[in-house]
Amino acid sequence: MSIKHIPLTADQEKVINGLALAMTIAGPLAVLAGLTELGVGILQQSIIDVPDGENKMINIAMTLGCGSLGFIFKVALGIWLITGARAFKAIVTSDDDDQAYLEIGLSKLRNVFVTKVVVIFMMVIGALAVIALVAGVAAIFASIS
Amino acid sequence: MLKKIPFSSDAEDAIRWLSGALISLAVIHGLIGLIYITCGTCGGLWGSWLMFSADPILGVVMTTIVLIGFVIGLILLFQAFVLLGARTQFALVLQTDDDDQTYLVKGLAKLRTFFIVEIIFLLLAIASSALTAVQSALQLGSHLI
Repeated sequence: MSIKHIPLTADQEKVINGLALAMTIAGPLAVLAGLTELGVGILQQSIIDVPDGENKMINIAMTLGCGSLGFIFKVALGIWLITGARAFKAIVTSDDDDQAYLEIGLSKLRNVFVTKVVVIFMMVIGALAVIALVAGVAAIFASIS
Repeated sequence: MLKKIPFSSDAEDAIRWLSGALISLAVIHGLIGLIYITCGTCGGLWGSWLMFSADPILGVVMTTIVLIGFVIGLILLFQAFVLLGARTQFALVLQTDDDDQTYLVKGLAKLRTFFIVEIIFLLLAIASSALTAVQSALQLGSHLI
């Protein structure tokens, strides 16, 4: 059984409207931030002077690869934030199926926060993997010499 | 006021996952905030004190950067507490049936605060990327000339 009308007080409606507005602004900004980070990363790699023997195109391709992954996450976050905001807004503006809108909004919030946590863990694991790789290569070179 | 909102099992799962993600993110924000405040500020101020003797202007710049880092650390700690507060309210929605609507709106109010701070961070990130892009473009221009 789903509740069609949740009897929100004026203050509670204000809170939900505020949340919807904040999410509506944060969504496109997240996408824009991802896009600018990707663009700046590629621009910087293209002007940095690389030492002899290194290929600039490999650096640009790596930045493009990692940056694209970050950008995809930001786009996903942006879409969930905007769709979640619409659902929360619908709770206040309509009385046809408030509980269903609330459940949609909560599921989008779950997606946003779970993705944020997963991205942070991936970054930490990635950083640890790089450190382990560098330490391993250094240990191999040390044992050879 | 609705004492009990009869959430579907999917919605309850979403709230459970959301609560888990909120507590994980709160711990991450808290840890990073503490690192910024303690290690960043202490190490940074030590560095800027050393720098002052070599170049007072660089020392002032370094101190400003350290203080900005300190403020960011405080904001991250604030966000951690906001996330923990939201998590507590969502947990009450799941565990009790005495005032679901109030707990839910209180949790959403905390998330609204979190997203407002996120918007500020996103704007700063975009501004920083834009500045870096301008600097890189100028550098690229001088390379071409």
